[in-house]
Amino acid sequence: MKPLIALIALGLAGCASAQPATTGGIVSTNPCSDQLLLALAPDKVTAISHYSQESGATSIPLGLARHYRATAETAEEVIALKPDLVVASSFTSKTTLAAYRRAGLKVLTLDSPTNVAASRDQIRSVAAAVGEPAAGERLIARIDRAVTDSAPRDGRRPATLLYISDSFANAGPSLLTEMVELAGLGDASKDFGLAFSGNVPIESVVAHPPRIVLDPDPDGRTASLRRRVLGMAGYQVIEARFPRQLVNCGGPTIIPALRALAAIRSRALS
Amino acid sequence: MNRVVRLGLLILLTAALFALSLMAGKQWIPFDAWFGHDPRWAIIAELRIPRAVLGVLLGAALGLSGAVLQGYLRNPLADPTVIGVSSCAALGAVASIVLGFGAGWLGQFGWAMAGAGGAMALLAMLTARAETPVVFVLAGTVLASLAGALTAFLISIAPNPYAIAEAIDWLMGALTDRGPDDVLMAAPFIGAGMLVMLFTGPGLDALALGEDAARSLGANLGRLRWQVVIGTGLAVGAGVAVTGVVGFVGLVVPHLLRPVFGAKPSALLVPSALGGAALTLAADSLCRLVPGAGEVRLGVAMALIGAPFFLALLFREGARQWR
Amino acid sequence: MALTLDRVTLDLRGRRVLADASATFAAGRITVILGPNGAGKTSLLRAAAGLIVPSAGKIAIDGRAIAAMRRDDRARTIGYLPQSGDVAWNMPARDVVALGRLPHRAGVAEDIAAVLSAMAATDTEQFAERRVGELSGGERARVLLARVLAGEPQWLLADEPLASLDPAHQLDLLDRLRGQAARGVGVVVVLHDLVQAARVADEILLLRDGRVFAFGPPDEVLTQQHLRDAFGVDVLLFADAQGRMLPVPADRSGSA
Repeated sequence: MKPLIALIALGLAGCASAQPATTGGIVSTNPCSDQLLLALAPDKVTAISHYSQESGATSIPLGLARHYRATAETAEEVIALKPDLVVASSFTSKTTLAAYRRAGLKVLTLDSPTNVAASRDQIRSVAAAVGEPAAGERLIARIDRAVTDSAPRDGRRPATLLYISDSFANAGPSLLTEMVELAGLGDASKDFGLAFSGNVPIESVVAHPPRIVLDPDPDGRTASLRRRVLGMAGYQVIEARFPRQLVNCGGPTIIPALRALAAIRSRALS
Repeated sequence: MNRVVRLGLLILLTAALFALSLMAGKQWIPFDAWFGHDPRWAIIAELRIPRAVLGVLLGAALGLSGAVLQGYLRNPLADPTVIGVSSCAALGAVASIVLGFGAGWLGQFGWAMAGAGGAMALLAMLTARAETPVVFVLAGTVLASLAGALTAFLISIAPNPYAIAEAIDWLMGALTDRGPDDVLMAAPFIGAGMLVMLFTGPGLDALALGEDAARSLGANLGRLRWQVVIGTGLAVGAGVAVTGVVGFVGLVVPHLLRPVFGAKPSALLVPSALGGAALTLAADSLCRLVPGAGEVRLGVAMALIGAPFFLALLFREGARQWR
Repeated sequence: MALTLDRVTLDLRGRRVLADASATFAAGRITVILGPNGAGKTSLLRAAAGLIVPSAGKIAIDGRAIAAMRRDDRARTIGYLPQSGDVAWNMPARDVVALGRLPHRAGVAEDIAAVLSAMAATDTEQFAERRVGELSGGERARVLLARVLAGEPQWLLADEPLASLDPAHQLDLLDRLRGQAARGVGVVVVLHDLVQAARVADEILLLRDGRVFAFGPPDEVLTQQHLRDAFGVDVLLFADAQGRMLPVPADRSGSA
């Protein structure tokens, strides 16, 4: 966990000291936008989502998160804070959004970017909305540097299957898929007939083993059984941990995610 | 065709479905892969065999519990969910998923068994002085409702979306990715529960004449109730703990077999166990054969098979089947 | 051989249903229990069958308390035919009759013999394979009686076995009970019908309000005064061919 936190903190480097505002300001209501706003305009953030204060769901260091007030994303709490801007996500319920609108609040709704270019665009538009365009460009520059740094030096693309949870693997056009490919790995999910993220049971993996399997919990029950069966079948599959926190969001998370993927690739190929 | 022959045919059917279950899946693995150094043997040994064994255990537990409960409650509509044990076991498992208790899998199994145990204790307490099975059904219904509400509550306060997804996925019931460890954990409980249930035959038969007549025939109704509670609690509880909630088997199997093996409760016990095993194996094979990358959830498959089948049965038989 | 109730008191759900009741039932004879609704007839019979534990008093067979008997032993000795004739599952008649063999640890051959003999005694052999749900009320009543007889009990306790039977079947069932008594079984029957009771009983136990009102042969117990006091009805007495006086209820009397 610690190196991960360090990575994320690095991703947020460039924030000044965290001095939360008390009313007005920006209220963010989901962990990904929390992370992005704290990277761009930490002083202007009045409240963040309660998920950012839970270790299983957060995308920011817990110590940093605890400095901020948290809401449970109910319209009541948010309206009471009289924010200048509410940042919601495409998962925010329509009734809550309608309530914000009725209260006359300014709402910025962010979707989940499906590739790096979309993430860049999102950073720019959020940076503009919070009045910190320069911070936005700085973040984009760091992301671009991470993309270049993690690009492969040779043409090898070891097939990689990336599990997001127990038996649920990433597949289809998503930011994760693009990052896997940018880091010089091959997307193995195509071999299992997955058009979008879905279940890949152990049987299928054993019948068609990829070179690398990534899992958020390699010591969990399913991962252990999978490792055992693959071993019995005589396959040498490289297993590595890929934490959930790197899977959830775009924006600043792209940097540590790409770095992790690149590191896994070089370990696999050595 | 006498009873022994029918039983023999049922055993053969179960064995055939067991063999099918070993071969069927996204990869069709014929028996010659068992010999020689075929890497697919790993799939058979570590995944399909434990899974088929677990399917037999789960199906037998559910089928037998259904037959026992229908006999005990004298009602062909009874099924293991009516006594609330599966709901409480599910609550235990969801609690461990959502609240993060228990290290990994053993923790989840332990919590589910604790839920089942709690349900059994509550049932025993609530029905201690009961004179009729109505109290039994009411107690079970209350437990099921309470457990269901608490489960939904836990899901609603889950600390992260992954816990929610995992809980909901687990609740749908599956034999997917179950391995030898799961068999080792569940088998003793299921075996013990089934053994206890097999002793209820004579008591259930006597109950067909009513409680007074049964007691006058020497049936020990207090002991019978304990056998029913403990037997179904252990067997169904362990089944749910390992595979999630799979319904319909306990309801449908005794129903299907009553015309074949007779309506006498004791005559249906062993056949219902076999029939439950056969049905579960068949459903699980289907789960794997459905096209697509993933597998259909067993609980879902069972409901999709069971409900229309039951409707067809009702239309065809009308009221005749019920008495 | 006698089944005795010695000052038996029964409490059910906080209500005293029988107080200080004493009676002796003899083997080889038919005792009929009569009384108005709520007099405690069914409770007394259930207690005699060992289904209710008395709050006071003792119930014994030849001096041996039935509460002290082992469950199986008591089940083999006393056959109880409850009032409701429901069979929960639609089994063939012979399976229902075979249930009467449950308390016996005898071999299969003995069980089959007992079942056949019980079905012969009740004239139910012809529907041995037919399901109990498809039989008429009278046929089902005979099958349930066969179930009790299959247990070869020494005591046959029947709770209103004539309910919902037509007159022919009522007479038929009473004949069979008489046949059992002739073979030495002690028969105790709860009846509602005063006329049937008068015709079949060797002894009558008349209950009222949870107490024994009268006990003895029919002509001693079924007097107009007793029936007026117990039931609150005036009866007309008619003599039958055998000279027995049959009480026919005529009118509600002033005192109730």
